[in-house]
Amino acid sequence: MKKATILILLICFYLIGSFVFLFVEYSKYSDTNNKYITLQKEVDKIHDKLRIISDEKAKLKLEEETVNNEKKIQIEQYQKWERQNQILKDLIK
Amino acid sequence: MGKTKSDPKRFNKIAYTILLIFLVLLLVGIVITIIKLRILRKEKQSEIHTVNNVLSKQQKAYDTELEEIEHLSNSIDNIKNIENSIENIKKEFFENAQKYEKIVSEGKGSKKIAYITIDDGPYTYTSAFLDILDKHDILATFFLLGKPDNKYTPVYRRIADSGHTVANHTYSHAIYEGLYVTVDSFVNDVLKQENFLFNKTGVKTNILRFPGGSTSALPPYRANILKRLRTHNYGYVDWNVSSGDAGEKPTREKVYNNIINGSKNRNIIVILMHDYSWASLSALPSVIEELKERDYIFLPLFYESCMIIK
Repeated sequence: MKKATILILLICFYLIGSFVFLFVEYSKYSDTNNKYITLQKEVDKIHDKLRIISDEKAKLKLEEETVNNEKKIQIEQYQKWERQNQILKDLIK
Repeated sequence: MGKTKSDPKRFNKIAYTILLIFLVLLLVGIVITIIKLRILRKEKQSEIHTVNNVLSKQQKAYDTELEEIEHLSNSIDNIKNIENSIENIKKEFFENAQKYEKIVSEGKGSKKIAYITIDDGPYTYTSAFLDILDKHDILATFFLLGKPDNKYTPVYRRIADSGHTVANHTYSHAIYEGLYVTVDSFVNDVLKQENFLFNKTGVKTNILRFPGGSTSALPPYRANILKRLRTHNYGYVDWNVSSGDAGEKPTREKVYNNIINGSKNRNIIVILMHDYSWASLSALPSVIEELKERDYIFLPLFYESCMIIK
């Protein structure tokens, strides 16, 4: 009987150790899982931000197109002056 | 009696065995759970790695989008303020033109300067002249008259919008109908045209060409006319190369030869043409090509030019 008691005590000792180990392992897993959840939230957040910014970009592109059409003549004028000015700049160098 | 004695022992043995099995099973269960947790943690770590990659890619995409938005906003602002940008670049252009003209007038510089000037417009051919100038991407100077007919309004506008110099050639050009009779008659005609051109193009002129050239104003009047024009900040210019397109039976070849021969040994040329002349219109492309071959660049006249007499 003594042997059995010792064996049980030994197993209990292992059990306590295993519980501690289990607890440590669970904590690690829990930390990792929390980290994963946080990252996933961040991904979702940045995904939303990307969607918003893409909408904004689309709006701006449309605005740019409208302004480009409105100021087409002036843009061509500016480009012409820029070309002419560049010729002079190159000659003065 | 022996049976009753051995029963508690047996019971204890069974109890011990059950407890032992239970504890062993519990231990095994815990070990399996630990292993499972480890596997799950590794899986999560691998997922974290993937998510991190996704996150960094998305962050990069976000940063790129942000940059593009900033670029777009700047571009929109620039386009909205393009009138200011045009004014600034025009200012810079004329400053550079003045600098380069000085270099050329000192006999230096790798290119010579040609000022194409087109008088008496707008006429039927003015748009065709503008098409040729646009095609060659060069700027010229238009000495314009006052033509109130609405059909010419877009032509006046196009000359100014294309960047050509809008210059004053008097409103009436009435050389033989009293333009040069008095100082007042002349100056009033110039100012009337200044007003007219301002209304048509938004440009306030400050360069004049006398109809028929400055010698058309006879000496007693000329000095007084110039004195009065100076008070209105005007300068004037004649020409040193004539296309001869106002002469008798001008042809494309005559115009071409007059200009090319007239340009010889000159670093800065002011070419006279008229936009009613078919000969000048048809000669213009080859004149431009030939002058380019002969190392000329084309500039529009500007008030500060050394060719403008103040």
